[in-house]
Amino acid sequence: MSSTSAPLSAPLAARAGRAGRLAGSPTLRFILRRLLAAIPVLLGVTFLSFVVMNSLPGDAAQELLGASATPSEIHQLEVKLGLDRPFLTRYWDWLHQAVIGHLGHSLSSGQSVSSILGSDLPVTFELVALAFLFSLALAVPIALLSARKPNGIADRLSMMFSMAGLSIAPYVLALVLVYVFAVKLNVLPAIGWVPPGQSISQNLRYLILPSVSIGLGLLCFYTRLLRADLLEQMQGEDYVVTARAKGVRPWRVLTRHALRNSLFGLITVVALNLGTLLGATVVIEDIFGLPGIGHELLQAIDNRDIPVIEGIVFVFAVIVVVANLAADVLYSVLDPRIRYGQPSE
Amino acid sequence: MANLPSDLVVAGVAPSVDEAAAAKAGGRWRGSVGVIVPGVMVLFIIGLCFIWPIIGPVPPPTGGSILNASLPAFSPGHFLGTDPVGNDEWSRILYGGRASLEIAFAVQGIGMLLGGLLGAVAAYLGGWRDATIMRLLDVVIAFPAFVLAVAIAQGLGPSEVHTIWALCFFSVPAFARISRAATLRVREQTFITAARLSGTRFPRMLLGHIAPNILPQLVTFGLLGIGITMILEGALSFVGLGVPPPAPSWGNMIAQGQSTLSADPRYVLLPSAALFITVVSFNLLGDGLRARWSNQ
Amino acid sequence: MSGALLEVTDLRVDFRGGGQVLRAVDQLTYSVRRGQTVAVIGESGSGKTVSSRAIMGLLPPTAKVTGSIRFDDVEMVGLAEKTMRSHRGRGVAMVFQDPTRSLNPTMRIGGQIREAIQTHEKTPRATAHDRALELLELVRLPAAKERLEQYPHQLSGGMRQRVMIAIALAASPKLLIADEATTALDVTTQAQIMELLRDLQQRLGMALIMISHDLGLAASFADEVVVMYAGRLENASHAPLAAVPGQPPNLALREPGCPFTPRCPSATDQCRQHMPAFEEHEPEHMWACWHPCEEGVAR
Repeated sequence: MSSTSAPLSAPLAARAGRAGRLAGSPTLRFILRRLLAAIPVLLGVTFLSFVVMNSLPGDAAQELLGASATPSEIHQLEVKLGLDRPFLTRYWDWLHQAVIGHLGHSLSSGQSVSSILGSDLPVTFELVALAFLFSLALAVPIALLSARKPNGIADRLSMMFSMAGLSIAPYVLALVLVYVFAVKLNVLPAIGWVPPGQSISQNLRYLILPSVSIGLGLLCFYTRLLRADLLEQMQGEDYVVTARAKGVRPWRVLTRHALRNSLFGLITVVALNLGTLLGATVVIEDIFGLPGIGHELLQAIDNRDIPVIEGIVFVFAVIVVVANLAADVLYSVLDPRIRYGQPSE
Repeated sequence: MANLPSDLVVAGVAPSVDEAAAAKAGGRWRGSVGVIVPGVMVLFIIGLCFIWPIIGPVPPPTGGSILNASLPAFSPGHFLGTDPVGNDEWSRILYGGRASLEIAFAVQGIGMLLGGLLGAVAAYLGGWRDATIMRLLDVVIAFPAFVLAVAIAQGLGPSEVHTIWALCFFSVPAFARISRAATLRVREQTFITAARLSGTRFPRMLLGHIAPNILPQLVTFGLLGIGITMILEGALSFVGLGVPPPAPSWGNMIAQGQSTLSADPRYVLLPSAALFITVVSFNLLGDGLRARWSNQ
Repeated sequence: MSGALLEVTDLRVDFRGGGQVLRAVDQLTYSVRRGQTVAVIGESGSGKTVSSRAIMGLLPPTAKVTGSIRFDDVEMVGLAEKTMRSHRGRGVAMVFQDPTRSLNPTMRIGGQIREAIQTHEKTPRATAHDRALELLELVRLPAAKERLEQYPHQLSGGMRQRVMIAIALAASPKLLIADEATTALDVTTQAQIMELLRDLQQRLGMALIMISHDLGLAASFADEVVVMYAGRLENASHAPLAAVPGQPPNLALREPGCPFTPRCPSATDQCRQHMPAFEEHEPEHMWACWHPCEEGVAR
């Protein structure tokens, strides 16, 4: 059991293990570097949206007072709201408050932007989370069944249906679902929202149709992606041949060997999707009357409510940046090759 | 798979490993079916939407009389019936398709040219130029483009052209990413080094050597993106951008049909079906071409 | 010859693809007795790996196998996949060339060895764990206990190959096929692994098929040498062999005659047009050639 290399390798292995568990300093440095690079992006995004919103005709004062207001009334309100100050001053004002977490107040309702976000974000998050859950829970078994016998019946059927599912617009699906389940069958509600605090079952009932509308497209996409990766593993990788040479049953090779390696890639993609998905919720929230971020955004643009818009844009951008970063980091953290460092010999 | 650009992710279709294998196993014809059938569908749809209204007996999509409102399908002279203000539904489908397709083609075309160029140049030049361009693209990507789209609608007023601009905001960075990844791969190949060493100048390098090698990927990405763009156009119609009524586009027809969904679902179902068939055809075509080209 | 553990008779492997048929192995015949070491030598493309995969039933679905492979008096060609699986690992086991890619990077060593054990016998995890430890010690892997918890990339090439051997031995196979098992390793490690294999073979009474393109290695370790060229058997004996200049032929464009013609200094028209038969021309020495060189002299 003992050899001359044992005493040397043991502490080395232990150190590598510990460092690995701490995500290793290279990974930490990587994260810091990416976060730093994200700052100009966040600045750019918020500045850009500020520019865009201010270039639009009309402003919050006009929207609040309506079409019949006189120019002097409008101007009075503008001064009161601080809208008469120069453009860059207003941006700077917003920015230096935002970085410490003070996102200001809505110009139309006076409510603090943070509290608006606080009540709206969870709704959107729950919707997105349910959509992901639905799609992933089904994608994995379907992809496994497809990869088991490539070009077999299960495979062809699932590929056909997933191609169809990918080609349906989420809002079309939403309307069709509403028509079938709410109008004709009357088993699920079409519009509305019940907070989970009030009643979890009702809360979920109102979210079924919207999350399936978003989730179906995701399901089809993830199924195809996972299946392709599984096939690549099964057909191209040497360790699969080793497993078969051991006499391992094909299903087990698929689930215990190929799936492990393919899941990494899938998780990365899911993290990347998170950013783009937030935008997709806008229309769905509109159709189902869900009081989420998308809905809030549309209203705010209508009202020229700049602090609310900036707040939402800021949060969106942060989520996108973090999600992209997480995708890269997850891949390196989950892959034991990187997590546990170099060979210790 | 972390190398997959997020836009391929957004594009929503995964590489098909076995199609290439099947094509190899089945001889020369097997691989072509996946391209010919959807190709014919696509041509048929384009012909129907662009050419048929000009040469065939199709009534105008707008200006219908309220006396003809909401006629059912197979009424005389209106084989799909009419909409709530009396316009022929079949005509609206055809003209709506034309508008949606025009927008999609324009957006993808501009994306391919502008985005493709940007990405290829960034990848080829490398260094700080590459980094700067990519950072700028990152800003665009992190930007909730929907905000921009709605803002354009509010500020400039909805129109087909403005919709195209708004959607280019999505497509140009997506193409730039794909083009950059593809160019990076091509750049490493020896024939590029050889051309460089023999003194080929940059424009010729780009056009003569890089472009032909990244074009297949850009084209398949573009085809797969047609479906996405058409779906996005519909989403924009829901929030007020898109083609302004009464001129039809499949997107605004679906959005408008929402209000009469329970009473008469066909105003949603007909353009939805048309949209679905078109998107499937373009997706199958893009997928088939990609399988074919990756084979070689 | 019913005492032989493995009898390959007239093995033919064709690959269908793109409307073409590629014959990778043609009329291969040889046998391996219990405890014997046979080296299968050939250049790349000679069909040596394909023939060994055929013995394990590990060829892709595009391959068509005809002929006979009798292992322990059981016919393997045409065997149902389920039965084939029970042979893999237990009757015949294989060690591959590239240990880096042949081990699952996301699974611990211990798990991979345990899988080899538990696939053939219902063994509780703890027992399998102990057996895995035994196996690692058998292949002389230092710090075996720690290694079980590690991932493949944490080990060096030579160590990984030892793990591969341990996995192969897990179900006590009667025949071990080492497919270029030492090619990816440096010379010193190569020698160590070969020594290990020889030692194990003697201890366990296992038969060994060594597949290699290294003539020297084959000569020092094998009882019998089988030479393959372009899918066919060309030479089987104990005589020393020398390397020949030139390239292996393209298997997709086969000529009617002997495939070695372009590289052969003694080639004549007869060689170009007629394929020589593989026969025993001298005791213990078989070949397929119209103009064999004189005894002991290679030109």
